[in-house]
Amino acid sequence: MIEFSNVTKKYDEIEALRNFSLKISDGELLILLGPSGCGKSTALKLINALVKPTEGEVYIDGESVASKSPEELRRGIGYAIQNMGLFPHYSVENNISIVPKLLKWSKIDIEKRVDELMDLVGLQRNFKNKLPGELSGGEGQRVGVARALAADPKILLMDEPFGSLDPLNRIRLQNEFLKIQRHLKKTVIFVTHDVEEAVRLADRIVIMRLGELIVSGTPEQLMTNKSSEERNYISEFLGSEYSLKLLSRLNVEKYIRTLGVEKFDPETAVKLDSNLTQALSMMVSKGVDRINVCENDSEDIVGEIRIWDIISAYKGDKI
Amino acid sequence: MRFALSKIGSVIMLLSLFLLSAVVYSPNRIVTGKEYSFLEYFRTSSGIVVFVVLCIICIGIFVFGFICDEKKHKIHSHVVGIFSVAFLFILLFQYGLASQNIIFSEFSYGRLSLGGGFWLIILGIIMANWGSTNTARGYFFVMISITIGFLVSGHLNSLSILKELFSRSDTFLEQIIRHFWLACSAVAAGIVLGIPIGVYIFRSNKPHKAILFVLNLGQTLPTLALLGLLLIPLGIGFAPAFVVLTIYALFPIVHNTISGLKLVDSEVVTAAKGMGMSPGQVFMKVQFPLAMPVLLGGMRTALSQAIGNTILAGLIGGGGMGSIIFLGLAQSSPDLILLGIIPIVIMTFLLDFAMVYIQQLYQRYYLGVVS
Repeated sequence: MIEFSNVTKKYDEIEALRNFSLKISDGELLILLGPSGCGKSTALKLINALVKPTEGEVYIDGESVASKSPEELRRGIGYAIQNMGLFPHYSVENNISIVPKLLKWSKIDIEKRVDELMDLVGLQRNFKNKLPGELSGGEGQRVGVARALAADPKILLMDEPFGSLDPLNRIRLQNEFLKIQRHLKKTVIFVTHDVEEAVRLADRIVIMRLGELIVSGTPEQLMTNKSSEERNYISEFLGSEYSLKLLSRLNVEKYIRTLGVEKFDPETAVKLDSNLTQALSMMVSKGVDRINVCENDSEDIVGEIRIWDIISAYKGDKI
Repeated sequence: MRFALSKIGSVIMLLSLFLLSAVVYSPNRIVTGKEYSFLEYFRTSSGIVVFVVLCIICIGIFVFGFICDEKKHKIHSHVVGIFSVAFLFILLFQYGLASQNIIFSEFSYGRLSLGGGFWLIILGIIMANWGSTNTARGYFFVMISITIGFLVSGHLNSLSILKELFSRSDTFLEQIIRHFWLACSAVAAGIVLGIPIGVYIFRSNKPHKAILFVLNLGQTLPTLALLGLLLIPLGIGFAPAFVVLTIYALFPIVHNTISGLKLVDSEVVTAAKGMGMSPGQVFMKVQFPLAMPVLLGGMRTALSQAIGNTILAGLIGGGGMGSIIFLGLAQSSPDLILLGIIPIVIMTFLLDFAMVYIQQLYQRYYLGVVS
C-alpha cells in the first residue's frame, strides 16, 4: 500500500502540492487526472523520491520513502514516462535490462527476462538489437513499458506513457496494457490529462487542481458524485460528454438480452466484446433503437441490445 | 547549373595557362625575379605541343560538363578524373624538362619559383574534381601519388622550393614532427583539463563567470600578445608555446563539454534516475556518452586551431613549421614560406578528416545514428 500523508511540496514559493493525502491499495490502477500544472507528476515523483516533500511523508507498505536510499527504492519501482526516455545509445535489449543489471541479476536470468517481457508487450524478438532511433512511436512505448516491468516491481509509476502516440496506437497500447495489468495485478499510479484514457484504464480516478485533491472515486462514482462542493469543476473538467466516454468501460456482453420476436439484419450487429459506445454509435448510424449482438469470431447472432439497456446501464441495473 | 564547379575549374586552368606566370626566375636571392608565362617557359617546339595538349584537356573538361546530364554524373566524374590525372602528369613532366633549360641553370644561385599560374591550376584541378562520385574520388589519390612520385624521382629538383627543402632536409621532418606533437600535446592537455572543468561547471549548475572569463580572455587576447606575456615568467622555447596553445584549446573543449551535457535529453536523465541509477552511473552511462559527439566537435575545433596557432611557436623558439615560415619571411623567400605552409595545410586537412571520421564512427557504432 502507498500512502500520502499531508504532503506539501513547494518549489520556491509555488506550491506544487498542498496538503495532499491519498491511499492506494495493492493491485489498484489509480489514475491521477488533471490539467497541466496541477501537481500530478509531482505526486508521482514523490513516490520514487525524485521529488522530496517539503512537509508530510509518503509511505510504501508502512515504511517512509525518505528513510530508504533513493537508488535502492527506485530499483524496486517501475517507471515509465512520456517520450519514453529510452537511452538512445542502448539497444532495445540493453534498455530493458537496465534495472536487472543494476540489481546484479545473472546474465542468464536477464536474457530470459528480456525474452519474457518482449513477448508480454508484443515485441518481436528480432527487435532486440535495434536502437530506439530505429523504432516507431508505438514500438518505443512498448519498450518503455517492458523496461518499467523489467525487475518485476510491485509498483509501477507511469507519467503519461502513451501521451506522444497517435490516437489509434494509444488505444491499442491502452488495451494491451489493461490486459497485462489484469494478469500481473501491479499497483499502478498513472498520470494523464486525457479524460478518455483515464476512464478507459482506471480502477479509481483522482482529480486534481492546483496541487489539491478534488475528488477520488471510480469513473462511475465521479459521474454521480453530487455531494462534492467542487461539482462544477469536476463536471467541467470531465466534459459534458463524459457519460458517453463512460460507456466505453461497459461491455455489451453484460447487457445483452435474448432476441425479440423480429429478427434484424445481421449487418447491423455488434460483436460480443465491443463496448456500449460502439453499440450506441451503431444504433445512431443505422437509425435504429435496437441492434443484434453476434459472436466475436462468427456472424452467429446471440442476442440483442436496446437503447434503453444502454441508458439504464448507468444506474447499474442489469435487466 | 550542371557541373558548374567543374566548368569553372577548367576555365581557371585554361586562363591560367594563357594569362599567368608559370615560374618566377631570379639569378640570385636578392634580385627581384622575372615572371615567365607558360608559353615562354615551355618554349621548345615539343613544349608548344604540350601546351596545346594541356589547353585541349581544359576545353575537354569544360565541354564535357555540357554533354553530360545529371544522370551521367558517374561518367562525368570518371572522365574529368582521367583528364585531370593526364593533365597533372604532363604538366609536372614538362615543368621538370623546362627547368633544365639553359637560361635557368646558368647561375648556380638562380632561383626558379613556381608562379601564380601553377597554384591556380592546382586549385582549378581540385575544383574540377570537387563534386566527384565516391568511386571517382580515387583519382585524387592517383594525382597525389603522381605528385609524390615526381618529387621523389628528382625530376623537379631544379625548382627552388625543392632546393630549399634539400638544403634543410635534416631538420625539415624533425620540425614537422615537432609541430605535430606540440599541437597535439597542447590539445591533449586541453582535453585532460577542459573536460573536468566543463563537467564541474555543468554539474554545479552555476554560471561560474570567473572561469569562463579567463577562458574567454584567452580567446579575445591575440595569441601573440599572450605569448609575449608568458615569455616573462616562462622564458623562450617549448614551455610558453605549450601553455598558450593549451589555453587556446581549453575554450572550445570546455564550451562544448558544457553545451554537450546540456543538450542531453532531460527525459533520458530523469528516466535514468527514476530507474535507480546513482548520480555517478547517470553521468558515466548516460550523460557523458550522449554528450560525446558535441565534445568531439570541440576537440576538432581545438585541434585545427592549435595546428594554426603552433606556427607562432616558431617566433619564441618553440620550433615547428613557424621557424621555417618566419625565416622565409625574414629572407623574403616565398619558396621557404611555402615550404613551411604546405605541410601545415596537409596536416590540418588530414587531422580534420581523422576527427570527422572518429565522430562518424562514434555516432554510427555507439549511438546508432545513420547519417
